[in-house]
Amino acid sequence: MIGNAAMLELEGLFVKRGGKRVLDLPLLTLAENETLAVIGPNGAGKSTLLLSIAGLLSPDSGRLRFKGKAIDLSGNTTAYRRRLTMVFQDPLLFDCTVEENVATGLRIRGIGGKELHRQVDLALERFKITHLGRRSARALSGGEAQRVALARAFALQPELVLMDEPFNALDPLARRVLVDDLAHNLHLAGTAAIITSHDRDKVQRLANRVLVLDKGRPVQYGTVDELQQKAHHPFVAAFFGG
Amino acid sequence: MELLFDGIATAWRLLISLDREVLSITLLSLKVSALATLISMLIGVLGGTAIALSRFPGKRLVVSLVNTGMGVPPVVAGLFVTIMLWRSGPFGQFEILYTPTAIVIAQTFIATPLVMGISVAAIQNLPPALRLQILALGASRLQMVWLLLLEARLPLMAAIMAGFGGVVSEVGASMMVGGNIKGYTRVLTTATVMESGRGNFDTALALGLILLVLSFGVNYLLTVIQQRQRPR
Amino acid sequence: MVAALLALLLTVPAVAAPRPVILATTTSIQDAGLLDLLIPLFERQSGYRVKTVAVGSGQAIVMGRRGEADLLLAHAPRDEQEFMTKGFGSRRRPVMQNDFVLVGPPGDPAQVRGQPITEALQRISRTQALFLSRSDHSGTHTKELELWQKAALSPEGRRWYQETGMGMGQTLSIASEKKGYTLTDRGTWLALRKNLALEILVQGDAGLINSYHAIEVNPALSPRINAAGARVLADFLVSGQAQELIRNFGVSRYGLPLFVPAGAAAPLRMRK
Repeated sequence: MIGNAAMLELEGLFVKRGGKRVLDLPLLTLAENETLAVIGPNGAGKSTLLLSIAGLLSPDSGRLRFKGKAIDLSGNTTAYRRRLTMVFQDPLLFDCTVEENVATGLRIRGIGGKELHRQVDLALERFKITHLGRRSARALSGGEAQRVALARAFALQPELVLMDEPFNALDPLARRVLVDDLAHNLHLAGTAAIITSHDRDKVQRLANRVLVLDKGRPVQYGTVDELQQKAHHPFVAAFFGG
Repeated sequence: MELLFDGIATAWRLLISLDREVLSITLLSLKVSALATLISMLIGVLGGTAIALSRFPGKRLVVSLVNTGMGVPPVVAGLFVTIMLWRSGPFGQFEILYTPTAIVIAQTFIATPLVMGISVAAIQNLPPALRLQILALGASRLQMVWLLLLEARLPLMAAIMAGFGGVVSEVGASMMVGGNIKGYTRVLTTATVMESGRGNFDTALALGLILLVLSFGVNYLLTVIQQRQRPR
Repeated sequence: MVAALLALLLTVPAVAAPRPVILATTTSIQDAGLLDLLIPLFERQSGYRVKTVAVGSGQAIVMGRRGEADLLLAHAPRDEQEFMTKGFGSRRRPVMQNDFVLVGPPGDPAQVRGQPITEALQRISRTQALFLSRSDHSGTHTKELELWQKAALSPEGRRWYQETGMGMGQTLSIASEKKGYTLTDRGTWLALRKNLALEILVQGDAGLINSYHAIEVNPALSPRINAAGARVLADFLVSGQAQELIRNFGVSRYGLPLFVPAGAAAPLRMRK
């Protein structure tokens, strides 16, 4: 695409499940600091795309370069997976306190002691949940839990954050407040992000570019404005029109 | 009723006076069952986790076998181990029959399916996406398994307690492979049966009560660990 | 901690120590407590470790045949003799004796009190009085079957003849509960009588003598048989020292000895 320092370059990503084509993406690039939204009807392959990029799913074929370095998605991806992280629709918190949850990724990387506490406190602050530090994860509302999941992700200072429908489980008010905090944090840390979402407002608010998938194939790609002006696919028209 | 009070009085007397023989029998019960539980925990938890997390042809059959193993009568396990350890058996040359080692082996056979079966269910009960989330936080496969075990600690601890409870109270297999030899393989359960057969019902009751106290002590310890908050 | 536990439990005997001797004996001897006295003494003096396994006489004999035991201490003379004639045993020596007694409810519905044992069994059969049998191939059970045979009776399957399949203590408890008759060795009787609502009704009959023999298993049966150890243990059991201990065993607890050593001139008739 543009000669920007590419954070991510994907070529020929192909995933098949049970004989059926799930994802067939010839090319995708992501620039640094860019937030890409991936939209499309159900079953379009959005989650599969994120899982592949996250190193959590081994595609049938595809080449990935992360900041210029080739990554083998079928081999041991631990080192690669430590450079990025993923947040799911379900916060998937552990059965312990909020602080312990946020600390998990840091402990995995061998960080401990004072440095651990410092980074945990910082992450809690960034998502405005310092007051929930000692609370058990079982005693949180949906919005609070998703904040903890985000704090846990951002505490790792990842180069790329992947988010699969992170607002779905939230009510509209919680969603609105969280999106602002998320946007702020993405900007603050200069983190690139790929988000899937059904929510037009959030896409407009957060995304630099949008990729539209249908039945595993890309059908449109461009900035939010470009998509709003010219829809190549009925889904896009419906998404931005209504 | 009087017999029950006699039993309690005798138990108290035996414990307070630190009766050498009773102490050694109690200690042996604890050692043997603790070791068997430890081994079955390693095999059961790790094996159960491996089964729960993998996909392979015949998985359902394997899980069924494990679950069936939970219901095997302990005395049958004892018979099987006896046949293996007989002089004429495949492992006769090691002369393990009628030693505490034999009891540990038999009790491990009894406890392992139990611990394994519950572990499989405990791991399978975790949200499937949790595995992905842990990996997405940068965990290696080993770290992932550890974090899953931590997350399932409540049912896993229950499995271990069930394993221990099952073997410390077991008598048939322990009698068969151990021989209830005085000072060597006599444990609380086999001693209780023997004293009963001799007509010393108060002693038998006392030994039974001591076993209950021992069992309670161990389970209390394990429960405290189970209910603890995750360490900082 | 695991290492410590393992070390504690799996202490392998020093290479120099002799191989252990497996002694298969009956529950009645173990329940009497006689071996708790004799075996530790033997172990100290000889340096052999003895693994005493208390099973029924029937099982002891099977273990002997399979070479799973080195020495048998049993009280089933007919089975033992068959064992010897078939060449499974290399040597058989008498160790001690006691007797069996017929016990029953104080009311004695079959009126067997004081009768010779054969007559007593016939009366029980005629009146169809409840009789409990251990039915577990133990020495006691074998003796009981012999006595029925001598009385020309076959009570198996009759409603008044109930087979418990259990040990002596439990069978006596059941007899006491159900007010039935049963055959028991005197040793177990003395140990348990305080808890039972039964009385001795027939005793002293020559047919009720109970002899214990030590049988060394033929080493040809299996390469693993510890014939040397079995010999030393058997020698000990018939030695003057052991025989003296047997003679005095039980006196302090029951007021009279439980067993008569085989070395004695003639078997004593024991009353009460």
